[in-house]
Amino acid sequence: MRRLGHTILLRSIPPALALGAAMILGLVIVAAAGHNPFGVMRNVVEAAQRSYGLRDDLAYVLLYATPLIFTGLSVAVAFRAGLFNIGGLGQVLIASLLCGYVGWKLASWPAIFAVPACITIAALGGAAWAAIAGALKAWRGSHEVIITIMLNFCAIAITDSLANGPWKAQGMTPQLPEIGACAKLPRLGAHPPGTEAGAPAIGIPLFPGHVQLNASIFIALLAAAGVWVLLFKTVRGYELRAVGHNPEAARAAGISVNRVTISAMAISGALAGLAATDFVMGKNYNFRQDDGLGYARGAFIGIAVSLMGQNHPVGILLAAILFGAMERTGFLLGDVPKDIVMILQAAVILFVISGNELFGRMLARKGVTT
Amino acid sequence: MPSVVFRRAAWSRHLNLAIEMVGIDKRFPRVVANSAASLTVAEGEIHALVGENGAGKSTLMKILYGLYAPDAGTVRVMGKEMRTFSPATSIAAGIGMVHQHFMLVPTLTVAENVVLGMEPRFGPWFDSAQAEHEVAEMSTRFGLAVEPRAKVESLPVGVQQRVEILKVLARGAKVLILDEPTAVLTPGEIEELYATLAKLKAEGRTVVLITHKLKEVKAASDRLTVLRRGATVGTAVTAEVTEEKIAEMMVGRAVAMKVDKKTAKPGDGVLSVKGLQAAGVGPVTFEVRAGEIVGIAGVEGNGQSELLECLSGLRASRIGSVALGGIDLSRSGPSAWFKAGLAIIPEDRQKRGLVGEFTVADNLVLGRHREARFVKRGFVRAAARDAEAAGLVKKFDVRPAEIAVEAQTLSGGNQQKAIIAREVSRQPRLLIAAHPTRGVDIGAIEFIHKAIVSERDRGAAVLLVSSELSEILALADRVLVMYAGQVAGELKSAEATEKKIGVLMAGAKL
Ligand SMILES: Nc1ncnc2c1ncn2[C@@H]1O[C@H](COP(=O)(O)OP(=O)(O)OP(=O)(O)O)[C@@H](O)[C@H]1O
Ligand SMILES: [Mg+2]
Repeated sequence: MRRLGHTILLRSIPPALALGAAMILGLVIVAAAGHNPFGVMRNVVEAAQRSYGLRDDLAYVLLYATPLIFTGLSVAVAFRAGLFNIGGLGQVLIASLLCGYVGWKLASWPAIFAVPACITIAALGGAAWAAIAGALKAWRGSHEVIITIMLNFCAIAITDSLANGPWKAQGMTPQLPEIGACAKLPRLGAHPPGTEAGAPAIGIPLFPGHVQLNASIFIALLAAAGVWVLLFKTVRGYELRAVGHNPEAARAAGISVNRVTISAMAISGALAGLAATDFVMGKNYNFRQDDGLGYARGAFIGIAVSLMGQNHPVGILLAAILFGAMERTGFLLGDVPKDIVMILQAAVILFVISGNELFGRMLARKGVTT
Repeated sequence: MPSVVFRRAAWSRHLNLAIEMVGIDKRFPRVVANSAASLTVAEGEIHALVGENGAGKSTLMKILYGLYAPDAGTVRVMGKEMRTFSPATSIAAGIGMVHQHFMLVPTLTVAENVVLGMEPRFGPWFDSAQAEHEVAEMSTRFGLAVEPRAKVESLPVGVQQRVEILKVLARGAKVLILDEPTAVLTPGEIEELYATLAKLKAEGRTVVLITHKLKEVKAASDRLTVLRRGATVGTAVTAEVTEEKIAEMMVGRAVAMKVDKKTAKPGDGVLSVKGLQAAGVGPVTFEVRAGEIVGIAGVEGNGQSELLECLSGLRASRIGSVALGGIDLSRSGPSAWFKAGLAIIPEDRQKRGLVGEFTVADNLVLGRHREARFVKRGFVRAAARDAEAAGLVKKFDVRPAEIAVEAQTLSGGNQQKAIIAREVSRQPRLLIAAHPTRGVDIGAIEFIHKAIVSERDRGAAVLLVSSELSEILALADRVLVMYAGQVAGELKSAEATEKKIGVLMAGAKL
């Protein structure tokens, strides 16, 4: 137990330092852009307290963090198996399309069946899509990075043609009809009277009703717990990590590297696909091509989240919240260009990578391993 | 310039001491690697550093080479105290180290590897002609035959090691540290290496040599220092001590250098290989029966590695058949082999034997992790795993006796002991042991040999592959000699002698 605490402490040093360094860099850039950095900071703090106050900010941070938890976990599982899944975009898109389709077709089902069916199809859709890359890697030796990139384009084309074609709702926009009320996930806050009458809500007083924060965040938390159990408590997780660290030794020990490769990609894809529960079931209530593409692009930030979270579920939760907070800050900047947030995110990533490397070397000289 | 004169005077007083390490302490999180270790090496001598696995030899040398900073103690090189510890300062001070695991870039040529980081230039370009010229010159000067233009990946280990030594010499090393240089070499390569070391010594260079082979200590070194549990326990002039005495200094007790074993009582055939052919081997036909140890001797690179891969499911055999306990496994992967009763101590422990980032406990069940006792409904039974691991660590004397440390932090010999512990604990029908005592200390060799013999006596069939003839002669009940991928001859243990095996190994007929 003491060792665990020690490890967590050691591992959180580089991300913390990176964050500090990125903040300083951000302030320097703000200053270079002709703003007073301290004035901007004061403005952000003031803006954060306006209207609904900090409750509002908290809800938004969690809202932005939700998909990042899913995609961060997705990248982490693949990474633990020695695979780089950068196909989160395609997996989220395909899963969202299927989720939207099933939610629409099952409109007459009771919620107790419709909700699990939609969640399952989201996970399966993402899993199947990613498993293509896993299978090609295992059987044909194709590199998963190339394949997942290509699959992203295929996913865009497929969703585009279906949302524009046979599954299209009436009207001009490429989108599917709305999912049934039975398939909608409730919002965490109460919805303000007179708006979005169709949206179910839990009505937790802490969260203001106009934020789309919804129950999918619980699915994200469950997924994080599940990934932790899978990686560190199960035989499959043991095999997955063995393959990730040393595939030669794993193979020699009788572990089927091919099977692990395919299943790790599938699990990774399922986690990315679960983001559809937030997008389709919790926010949009249908699949819409343009919004979907924008939403799915967030999967690339999942790579950064996983990296910053050291491919560990706990780290990923923290990193997702951090990136959510950065995103929120972007809306509070006032007249400072919002690009600063992207610069901050990029800086954090760069500092984490280089910081990990430097810090690791420093520890190695001392002979400490984490 | 009085200050220069003064420094020269101070220098010359210590002229005969190349290295002086005093009171060195080095602690790792859970382990003390060095405590009050000391080492004094005179200029121009070949100094052997010996001690049990985990005694702290590599750590002490890594401190000298600047890879670790000591927690306490002083290090003087050529009379000058080292204040900062980094490879750069050590190299500047004239220290060079050849690590046990080579650090070459396989896709570059010999010349490119040697000059890496200090490349000769022609304007902004790399001057490869000049590099090749320099390397060729050094190669003749030191008698280290290499072809400067050859790609490193295509070279045998012995030659790769020469490249490593050249690399170190090219950086102007006056003191060469060699960490277990002979562990992976063939007998011929070992002789060449020692000829090179003698030449370097004649040139006035100093060599620190880590080895577990006491014969080599006797043959090559002038003086020796013994480490035990991190501390220096003695130093001696090599000519004045016997091998037995050195072993006793290392282990702290008398070591039996010879295994006593009863004559084998072979039972039914367990492993049967018929006309097996695959890339690099064959056709070979032989059988290993229950209760016997069959030794495979041969110069490395004569098909042993390929044969072992065929016999563990890592390489598909194209022609012929292999069967374990009557089950044909010619087309099966590793898991089927294990199910049929195989246990294997692999040739390359870093690559195939261990997952370095896993804990010792996780490694001690690797490959056995799906056995019912370690799994409960898909979950790892951590308590059962830890209990098993703790038992094995204790029984096989893996040091430190800690199951929660990463396997890669274990010393080389202790990694090997951990693998042997795991494989023997499978209670196999067939035990394949490839170079089982590579890099392990003399006390552990005794222990491992006993363990192999007791596996035989339990009724396991044992296939022993080793490039150490003494090991084959000590253990095998029957000896097969491999040459050019085929079995060149078979000898009963009674008729096997080093000479006869040597003849067959060289490809000649008896
Ligand atoms: N980086 C590290 N982290 C933690 N412990 C370490 C590390 N490196 C070495 N050790 C420990 O320090 C001790 C000494 O190790 P060292 O490698 O110096 O032994 P050695 O004498 O070279 O043994 P061998 O003959 O087996 O190579 C061992 O118990 C080892 O487990
Ligand atoms: Mg060592």
